[in-house]
Amino acid sequence: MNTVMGKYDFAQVYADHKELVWKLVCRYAAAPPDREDLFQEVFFKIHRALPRFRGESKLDTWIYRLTVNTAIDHLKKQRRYDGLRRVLEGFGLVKAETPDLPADEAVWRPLEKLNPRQRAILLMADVEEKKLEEIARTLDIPLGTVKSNLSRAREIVRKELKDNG
Amino acid sequence: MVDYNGYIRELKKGGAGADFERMRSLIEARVSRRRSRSRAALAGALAVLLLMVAAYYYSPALQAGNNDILMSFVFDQESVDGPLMDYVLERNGTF
Repeated sequence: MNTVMGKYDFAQVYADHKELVWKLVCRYAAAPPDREDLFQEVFFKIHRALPRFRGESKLDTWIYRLTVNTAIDHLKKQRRYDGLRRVLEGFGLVKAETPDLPADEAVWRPLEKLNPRQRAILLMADVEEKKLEEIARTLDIPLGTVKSNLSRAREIVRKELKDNG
Repeated sequence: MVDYNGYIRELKKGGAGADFERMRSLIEARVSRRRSRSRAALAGALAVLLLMVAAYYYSPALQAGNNDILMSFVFDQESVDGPLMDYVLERNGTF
């Protein structure tokens, strides 16, 4: 994988950013197989998009944005899949699936109550301590949307902690 | 994990370690599969293009005309008739 793409060598990009991507991935996906799938998807996208990266932003910023947006897409797909699966389980067409969750499952329960965008905004704002303007740029949404989603996400998590914490 | 700030501290702890070498191999395999698929798609598109060109030049419905070498044989056999054609068609001719 010593592909040199423009001025970037993919192997070097992988070596330099694998830990950052893994750390982010672990905040968006709970189950170990999901984390690995998401990690691979991110680097596959990096491999495809790296030749077109023109250096308008820092490489770290570009990879961060790509990871977060891929994670949101992954969560959306997961929600659609879970919804469909629940319907099929309701009709007895498929067996109930036992989710492969990590040992710290309790940590994930409040996050599961958030939609993908709310989860991303809460993680970026409160866990990664990013500025709201930066979050708006990363997700390509208005600042007002970031603020309203963050406020709603905090409210949901607080309620979940109060009820089940 | 009672209050919100405590919960955020839990989230900050991060995830378990990963086998980066194994995942790198899986990414390499996926990249390689994509390249093979791209090559196959390119070869397929080229083959379709060649078939379309061939069909255009040789299909009577699209390009029938007595000026074509092939069509002149079909429509104007006399022009190539002679001892050679007698021999080919076994019409008691000698060559």
